[in-house]
Amino acid sequence: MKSLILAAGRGKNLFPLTETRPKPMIPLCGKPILDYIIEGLIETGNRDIIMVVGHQSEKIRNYYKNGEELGVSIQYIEKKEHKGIGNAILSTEDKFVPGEHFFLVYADILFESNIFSDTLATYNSKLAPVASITLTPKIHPYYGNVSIDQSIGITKIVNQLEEAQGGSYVLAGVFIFDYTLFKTLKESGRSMHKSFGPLVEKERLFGSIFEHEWIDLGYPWNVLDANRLKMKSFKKANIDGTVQMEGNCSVIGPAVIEKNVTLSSGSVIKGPCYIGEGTYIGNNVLVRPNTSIGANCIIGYGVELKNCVLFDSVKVGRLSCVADSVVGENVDLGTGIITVNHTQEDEIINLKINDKIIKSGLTKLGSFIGDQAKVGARNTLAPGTIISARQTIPHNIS
Amino acid sequence: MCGIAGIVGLTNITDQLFRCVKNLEYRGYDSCGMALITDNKIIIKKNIGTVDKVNKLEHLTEQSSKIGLAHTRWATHGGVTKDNSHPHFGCDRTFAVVHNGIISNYQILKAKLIEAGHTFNSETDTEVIPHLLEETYKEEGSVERAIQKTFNQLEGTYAFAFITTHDPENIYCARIDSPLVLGIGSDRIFLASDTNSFIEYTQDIIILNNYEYAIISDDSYTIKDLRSGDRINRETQRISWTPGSTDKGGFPTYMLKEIHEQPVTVKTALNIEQKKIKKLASMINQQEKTYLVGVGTTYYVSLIAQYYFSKLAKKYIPAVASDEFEYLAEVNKKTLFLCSSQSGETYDTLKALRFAKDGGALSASIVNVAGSSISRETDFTIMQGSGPEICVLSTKTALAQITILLRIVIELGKLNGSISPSQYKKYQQHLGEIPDVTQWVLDHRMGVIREIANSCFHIKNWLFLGRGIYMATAMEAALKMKEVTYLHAEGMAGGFMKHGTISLIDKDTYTLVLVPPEKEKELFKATMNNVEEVKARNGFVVGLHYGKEQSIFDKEIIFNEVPPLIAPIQELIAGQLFAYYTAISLGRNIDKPRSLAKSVTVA
Repeated sequence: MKSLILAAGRGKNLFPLTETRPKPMIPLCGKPILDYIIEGLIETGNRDIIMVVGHQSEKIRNYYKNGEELGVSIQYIEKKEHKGIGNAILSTEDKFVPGEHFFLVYADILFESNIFSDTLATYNSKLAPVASITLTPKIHPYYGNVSIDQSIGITKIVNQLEEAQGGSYVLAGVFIFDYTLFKTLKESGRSMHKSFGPLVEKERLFGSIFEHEWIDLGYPWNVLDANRLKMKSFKKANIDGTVQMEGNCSVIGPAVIEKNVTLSSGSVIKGPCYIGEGTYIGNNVLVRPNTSIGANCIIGYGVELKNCVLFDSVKVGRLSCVADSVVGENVDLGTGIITVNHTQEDEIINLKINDKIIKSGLTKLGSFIGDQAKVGARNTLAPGTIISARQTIPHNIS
Repeated sequence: MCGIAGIVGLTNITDQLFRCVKNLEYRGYDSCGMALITDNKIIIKKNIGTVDKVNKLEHLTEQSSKIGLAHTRWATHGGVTKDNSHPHFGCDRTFAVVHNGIISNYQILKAKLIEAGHTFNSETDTEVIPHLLEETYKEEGSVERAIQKTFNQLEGTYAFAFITTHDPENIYCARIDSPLVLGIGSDRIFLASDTNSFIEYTQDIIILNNYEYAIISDDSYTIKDLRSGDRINRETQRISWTPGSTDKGGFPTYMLKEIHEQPVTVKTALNIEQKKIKKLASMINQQEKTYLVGVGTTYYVSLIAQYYFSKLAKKYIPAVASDEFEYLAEVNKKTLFLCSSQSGETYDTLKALRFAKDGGALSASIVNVAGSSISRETDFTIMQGSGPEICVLSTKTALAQITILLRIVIELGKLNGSISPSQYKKYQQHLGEIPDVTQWVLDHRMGVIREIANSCFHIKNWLFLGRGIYMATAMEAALKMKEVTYLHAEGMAGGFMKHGTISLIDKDTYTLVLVPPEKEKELFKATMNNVEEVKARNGFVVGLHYGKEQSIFDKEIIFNEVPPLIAPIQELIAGQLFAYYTAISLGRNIDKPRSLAKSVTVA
């Protein structure tokens, strides 16, 4: 079965992380999200990939090339203008033949266990188009927009999440369609959303219930959820033989520490956590659970890191504290930086993304810092701070 | 739901055909049969019972043939009898048909065919297909024209397959909505309702789409459009990954599948003929004393019904657990023994039934599996028609039994004058709302129930509280919890708690409270007092209730206002889902929990 992966979107709400990369290239525990999707497809025997790319597509092309290294074949379709999912799918029509069934995968999802094998199982049982569905993720509201009947047929997919209307489930971004999808799309104004009506009413679309944890990367804080989800699979510590540990370091719990990492004396590493290749951890550093540090980072003396994701080549100056935050590639955080992660009244933290105020629903949230930004010494960042890529914040010196 | 399998091969196929139909048994198992061609004659072997049982009776695997069809049935139209089993012949035995699905216009077609001189041997909708094929073949002289012409007359959703002496080398099959798939082997071709049937023999498959038919021989297949007759080219696809199990109809577990089937099983229960309900109501009315009997879930079903009987029909009818029946019950000619059983083979209930009959009691039952011991041995049986229930835990069959019992209660109330004609009308209306209310819980409350289960699954001790009928509902919800999560959950009446059990309450013992709608003032107030009592002892309370969010609950599942009559049903479903998602969080074996079996047929 061929797999059509949609990876062209701009991911505007993931600003500033998508300013400098396509959304599926956001790294988690040393690999882009897209790697986890391709691995899942390989596990179910699907190695023939057609990928629609657009926003900063060269970053995907340069990383995966023709897919040979991963043992898959990748054909790219370039979509420079962004005109919706329906158009992106239609641009691949000539890669398929009538009667053929194929996987359709949105490239901004992350899942525990293999969502593709579950979808295939339902498909093999129903022998008809299938959409993977899942109960809404943890955050309120607890209802979705997809309803199913007793034979797992989808009865409706509503546009807006309104309680009176909706169903318990949401679409999980993995489908198995047949060639008639192209026809349905054309008849529905080339819109995926408008196609759901005829797909559900005329053609019969079945749901495949995915019961494991699932995350859709819509907003910056979802990167932290996704990171936690990946770390759930860490069962024991895994420290590479080349890691240099000075005396008096301790590693507690399932920490994954890659090649040529240096742990200086006094550092305490508490798993689950991940430390990428070549990273230097200074004296008396405390790495708390659910922290992912990219490759070639430098973490200065006395730094505390908790529930955060640091991309590659990040510098964190001495006596800093980074918590509930995501820090982009080549970011330079000066001495004594603190990302404050809650208000004193424990209010829900709002973020300003593309001039819109967005409620995170969370009471603990730090900062989101774009690639190559520089934050000068002694800055204290308010909860929900967003710093654009390449922005410089001067030292805070009296 | 039924299962279809077929094979055309170069050598004998009966052993493989038996395996193929056995693999479909989860789709139904009340009767089974095979049609084979030897010496240009079709022979049909069929009987009632499971696939293995029919094989013993009819020696299916001892036959020899290179072409054949098989079927495993779950009755929809017509009872479970040998005549109603598939395959079906027409009049001149030239066509043998197996079918899955429903022919919705079969009565009209049947009448026409009878008028044309055809004789029918069964009560099934299926039998019109071979007669129609026979008729159209006579007109057209071509099997393919016959299949197209037959299709033009059939309405409904179905898949069927047939063999015919007019073309003894090929199997013909067609699909409208019910699934059909071909499997391409090296010297044989398979067809089945799903790939589960033949996956051990071949992984190369071809899916038949709606409005297509196929003609298959031992080495080739042709697919055509039913409407136009145009040939369709389709390559085989290899199932690259071997499915663990595709037999749950696409659901991750049978339990979730059966929970989702409840709106339909309730509808079926509501469509059971009124005269059967009346008959049972009048039996209760005539007899001096009635016992509601069941064990495990069916005991709680009886207990729920006990409250309905008292409240609506003003008659106290005790629920007695089957296993304790003979130590408690007073049995004579004026007694009615009324039991519920999914399998109809429950040992304890059968034993109680025999005890009651020995004492001269009249007996009646509500049973899901046709032809079972309880259905045969009771004087009167209502078949609940809930379809196969595979998960060890009863969900849909329990709800169907409750619905049927509630119908009987309302009928009895009308009969003995405790329900006025206007109330009767109102209650009938409320009954009709059960399927939608059930669907509403599934469509709107699964997310929050899952969230609560996710955050509480580490708790090892639970108290499930309710008062009145909600006590019985709490007991059933607690049983579900115990069965599937292996956690300790105790169902109890709210008033009973403070006479002892309340000493258990601490921060590690959680309480789930089934609160009635506020309209039931006394019951509501008393239940809320229990909530206060638990909270005062630092207990954690999950509230199932109506109306607005309330800070007294630590977690809450809020329902829409529904008539008090059906409110317990709404809470029962929430209880099923809570047990389910707690078990998911704990990684339990949902469909086959440790130490449990589907029907307990031993002492």
